[in-house]
Amino acid sequence: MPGLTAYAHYVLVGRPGANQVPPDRVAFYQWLLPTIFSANRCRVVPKDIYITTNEMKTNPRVIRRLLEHDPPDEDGRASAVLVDLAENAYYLIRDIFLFHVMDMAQRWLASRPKLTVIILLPGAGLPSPASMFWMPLAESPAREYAGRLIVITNDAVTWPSESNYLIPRTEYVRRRNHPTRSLIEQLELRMIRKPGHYALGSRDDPYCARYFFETEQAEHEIGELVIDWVQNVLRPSIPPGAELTLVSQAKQSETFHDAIAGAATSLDCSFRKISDPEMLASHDLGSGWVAPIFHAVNSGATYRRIVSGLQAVGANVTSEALTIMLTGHDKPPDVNGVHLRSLCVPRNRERVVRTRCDQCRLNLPHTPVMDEEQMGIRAFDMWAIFFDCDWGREQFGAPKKQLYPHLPDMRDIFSKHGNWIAYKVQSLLKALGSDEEVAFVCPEEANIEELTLHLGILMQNRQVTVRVPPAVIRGQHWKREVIRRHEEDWQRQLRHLRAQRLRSVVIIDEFAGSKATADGLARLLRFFEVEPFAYVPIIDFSPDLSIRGLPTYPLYRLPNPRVGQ
Amino acid sequence: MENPEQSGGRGTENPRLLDEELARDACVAIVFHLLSNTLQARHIDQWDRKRALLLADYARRSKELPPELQSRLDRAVVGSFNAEWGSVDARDFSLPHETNVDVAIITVLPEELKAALDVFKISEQPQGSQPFYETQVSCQGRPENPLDVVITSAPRSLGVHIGAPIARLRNKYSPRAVFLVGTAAGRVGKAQPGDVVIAQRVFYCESGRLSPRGKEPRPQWAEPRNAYGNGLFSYDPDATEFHTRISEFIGSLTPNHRPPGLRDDRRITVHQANTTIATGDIVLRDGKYLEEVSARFDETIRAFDEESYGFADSVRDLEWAVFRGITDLAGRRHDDRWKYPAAGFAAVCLRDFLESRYVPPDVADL
Repeated sequence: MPGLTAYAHYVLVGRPGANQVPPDRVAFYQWLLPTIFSANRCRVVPKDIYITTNEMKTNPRVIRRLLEHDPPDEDGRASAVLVDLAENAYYLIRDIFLFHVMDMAQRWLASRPKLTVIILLPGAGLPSPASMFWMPLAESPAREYAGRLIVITNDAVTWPSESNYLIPRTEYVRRRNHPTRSLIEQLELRMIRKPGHYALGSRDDPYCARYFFETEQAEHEIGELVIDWVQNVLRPSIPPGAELTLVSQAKQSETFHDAIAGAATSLDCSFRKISDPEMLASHDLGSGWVAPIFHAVNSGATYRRIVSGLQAVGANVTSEALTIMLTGHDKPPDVNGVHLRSLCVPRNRERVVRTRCDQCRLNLPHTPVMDEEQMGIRAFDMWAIFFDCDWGREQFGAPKKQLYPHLPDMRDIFSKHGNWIAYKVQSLLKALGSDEEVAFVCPEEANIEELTLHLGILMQNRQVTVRVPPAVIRGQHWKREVIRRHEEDWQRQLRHLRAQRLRSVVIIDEFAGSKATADGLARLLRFFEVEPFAYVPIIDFSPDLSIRGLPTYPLYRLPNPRVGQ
Repeated sequence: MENPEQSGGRGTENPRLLDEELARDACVAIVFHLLSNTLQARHIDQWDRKRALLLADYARRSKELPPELQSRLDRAVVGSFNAEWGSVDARDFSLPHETNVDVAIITVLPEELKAALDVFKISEQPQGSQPFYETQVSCQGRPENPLDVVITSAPRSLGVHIGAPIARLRNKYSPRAVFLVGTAAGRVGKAQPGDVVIAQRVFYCESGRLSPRGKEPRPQWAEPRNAYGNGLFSYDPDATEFHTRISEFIGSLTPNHRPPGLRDDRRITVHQANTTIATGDIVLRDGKYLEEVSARFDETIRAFDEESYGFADSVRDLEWAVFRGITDLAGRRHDDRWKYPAAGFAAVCLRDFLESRYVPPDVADL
């Protein structure tokens, strides 16, 4: 297929570019498009599009205007349009925005019989079936566009799956642009600071930590960063073609080992997992180079033991070792010429020796690191968070006379502990047997929107969030409002949920005062023939009050019911 | 104020309510924050509002506390209003370390409780609320100290109803190990009425998702942390006093508790190696269901009950096992006269295990 012209729209959300598509991105298009079309010559016409976060939030259909110029007809010759959203953080992209992108694609396909549309999405895995991204497909004769619409995610998963054979997956992941800085930002975003009472340290140096930094949700980013580090730092420092073994050390994180093993496979390296430094001698490390990679380095004792232990068994340790994070006060010095690089800024675990630990003196049990055994939030943590946050008058959520006069500022709490609370919600839903495809339904209010942002970070935006205007939830004439607002996005989403028969539709809110909001949302969902699966308020101020046919699963119960109704 | 439309229905049953933190841990933490922040309070009116919420939190949870701990923490709460309490260290109100009992036994049906009390030689006293019976049994795994044992019962069957009594048991006694003792339906061809099934593996067969194509099962398993079962791994009833004890127990049965065909010299089979109990909230009237589930998911299933998964889920951070006597076979005619003796056989088996092979966690940890 000689002489194919491809119009590439490079879409950036929230951070303006330099008024041009970066050259390495254009180079990526110049590899990808001929690969898909088996074309010898491919002319790429790049164009950058900038969307502010505010536009994304308040006017997601702006993408229609920005993409409105239909691609030229090319005199009946084959051509392509590529819409590249892949460079954005997935949590910035709203579901309804994806709907408009797909809708535009459908329009183009309908008017240009020889046009192919390719959509590049961020994150790993395709959007869930409940996402409105797929809605225009259901409403159009998609079969007519067979082979002319391709969706590709950052981990090279494609839709339709038959397109997989067109795109060599490993090559795609290697070639797509992923600046190290943005990967570290993603890693830091997805790291979860879990408060608790953690027994860490060793038998000789037992201590308790107030926080544990969980990277379970960032396996993909860790793998990518290790690949970057090996290719750009280690490979140039060892003889070409030399064998390399990646050695991962982590006591508490199995997913970390998985991430390093995955990176080793991509890099064609060997891999060894070391949980116990005492067992180094039992590992066959071969004759090549050995690169130690740590999940966390605190005092540096384990780092010293591993590096000198590896050298003692005759391993050629690379000049640099890597740790995902430093959790101690100081960066440990080089060990026998091996320098330690840390990916993240220092993380403070608030470590304390066991004899001086308040929680030990209260005889509170230690928190397991691996599993989320405690579904709710512990009283010790909840009150520590309450005393650490701002308090004030409730801003919205009820008629004026019923507003709470003095409450913890939930937005402040979500901004400081949002990932952890989102993780708790996710674990709770998993324990309740919810599907991976979840739709959250919440009032369109700033506080809970802050939490849904964190849910999006952890779930890679595979969840769907429906924000319902308060007037529809609590107004006396709510049915009239539903009819009046027929064209609003939330109604489209609810109709789509009904069509999808999604099981895990969860009502979520910052707290339950009288449960009137949840009651209104449940009523609305049933009006749209969608049955809610559960109601999850983060704090339940009315634990003695239940809602007919809708089980309530709060993360914390604290009797403080709303008065004045 | 409660909306009349908002009561009753499915919403009133909240199986996770008791998955909250133990009341004693929560109350100690609340009192700690109450006393620590009293010392630092600057703005009195704001502190009063926060304190009101702290007290509401404490008041709700302290209902579950053992009386001695509750009175100690109540004194601390009242004392926090006293300005001269500045010198008191909140940590003085920490949890006592010595509240643990070694073993807790939970039963469900009245016949099961009676059988367990008889086997452990406890005279039953009528009680208005959840009963707790304390005793001691000798233990070869810790000969210097007999095991402290407490027996209690859930008021109703089904897994969702077992969480509350277990939470109260844990708040009051902090047991190191918990055993569910009672009866179950056996799998046809794999067990007989009167057999005992010991399981450290529970299969919850009812979880799944409803889709337009019907129900898609998503089964779940539960297992305790210690795969060796603190001695269960090496327990052999043929090498202990088990059969002698069983004969004594059968000999003590009154006619109304003796099912037809149960002879004094009946040799009880104990199923214990690689054994699974299936559990669900349905009553098994159709034997095919258990066979289908076993064939599809787990051939090691020997019996079916209604509480084991709820039990295992509530004690998943402790050592646990399930001892079940078989009363009938899944799908076959039910004979109520087996309830008491079958539960008694399970209790005899547990007692025999505790006395002969059980290694308490405090010994195993050394």
